Amino acid sequence: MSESTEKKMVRLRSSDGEVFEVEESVAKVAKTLQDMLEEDCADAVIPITCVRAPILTKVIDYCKDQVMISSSSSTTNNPNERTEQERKAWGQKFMEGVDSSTLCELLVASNFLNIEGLLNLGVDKMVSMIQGKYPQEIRDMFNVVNDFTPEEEEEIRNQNAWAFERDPYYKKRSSSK
Amino acid sequence: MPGVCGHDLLSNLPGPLIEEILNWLPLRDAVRTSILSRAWRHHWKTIRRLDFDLRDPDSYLEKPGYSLKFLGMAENLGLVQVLAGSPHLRRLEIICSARKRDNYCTKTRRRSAPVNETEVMNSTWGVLKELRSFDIVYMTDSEIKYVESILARAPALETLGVHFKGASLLEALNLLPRASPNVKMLQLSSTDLPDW
Repeated sequence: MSESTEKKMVRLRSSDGEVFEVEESVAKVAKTLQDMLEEDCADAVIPITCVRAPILTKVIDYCKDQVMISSSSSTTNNPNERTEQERKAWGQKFMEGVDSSTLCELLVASNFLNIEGLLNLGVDKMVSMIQGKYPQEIRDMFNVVNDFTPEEEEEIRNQNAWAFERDPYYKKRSSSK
Repeated sequence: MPGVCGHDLLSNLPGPLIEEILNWLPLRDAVRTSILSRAWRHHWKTIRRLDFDLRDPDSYLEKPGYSLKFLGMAENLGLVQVLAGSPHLRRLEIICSARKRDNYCTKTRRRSAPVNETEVMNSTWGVLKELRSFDIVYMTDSEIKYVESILARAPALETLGVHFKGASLLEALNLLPRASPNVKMLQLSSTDLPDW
C-alpha cells in the first residue's frame, strides 16, 4: 500500500460510549461492518450496541492482525504469512488468559459482527474450557444456577448414566492440570 | 451494566453458537450439559454430529436421526447395545484399524465382557428401520458377521459402502445378496489400512 494514499478511517462506538477509530480495512474484517460500509454509512459513528469497550478493543486487535497477515498475500513471499501450525499457536496465544465472562462477550461480539475466524477461536476456547469438567465446575465458571431438584437431577443422570460415571478419562484430565 | 452476558453467561449466547459448541464437544461432555440447569436440559440434543467415543463402550443414546461413527473394532464394544438403543439411526459408519484395535483390546476387555456371538445373531435388538446409509471401512473376517447382522435388520438401507482390505473384500461380496433389496447405491473399494 503506498503511503501517499490516505487511509480511510471508520469510527465505532462501543455500548459504553467509547469511540474507536480504525482503518476501514480493519473494520471490514467484520462482515457486518463491511456490509454497512458498502451501503455507505461510513460517515457516521457506527454504534456497536452490544459490545463493551474492552471487548471491542480485543476484537479490533484481532481484525488488525487479519489485515496485517493478508495485506501482502498477493505477493509470493509474504513475510507475515503463517503456516497452519503458526496460525494455531497465534490463536491460542490470542485467547490465552481470556476468562469465561470475557469469552462469552467475545463470542457474542464476533457473532454480531460476523467475524468467522474469531468466532472459531472462541468456540475452540469454549470447548476446551468445558471439556472434561464436572457439571458443578461448569456451573461455577459460567454462573449457571442449578434449578433442578435433587430428584430431578438424579433422574436426568440416570437417563444417560454412562455420561456421568467417574472414569479414568476424567481422572486423567483433572490430574493433568 | 455487565454487558450482554448477564448472570448465566452461557445461556446468553445465541442458540446457533451453543449448538456449535456442543457439536465440537466430545459426546460425553455434551450429554453432561443436560444437568447444568433446566435451560440446558435438552440443548445437547441439537447436535448433528456424533463421533462415538470407544472409550465409552457401554454408551448409547436415544436420539432420532443421527449417525454414529465407530472408530475401532466392533467386537467387545457393546455394539449390540448401541444399536438396540438407536432404532432411529439414519447413518452408520464403522471404521476399524489394526493399530486402534490393539489399543482398545486391552482397554475394553478390562471393562466389559466380550459380546457373545450368538447373542449378536439372536438378540432382540430390533430393526434399524430408518438406517439409510451404512459404511464399513476395513473390518476383518471376524467382524463381517456384525455387518451381516446389521444388513439383515436394515430394510430401508439405500447406500452401502464397503471399503475392505484385500481378501476381506471378497468375503464382503458374499454378504451382498443378503443385503436389503432397497439398496440403490453400492460403493466397493479395496483400501489399505487407514493411516491413524
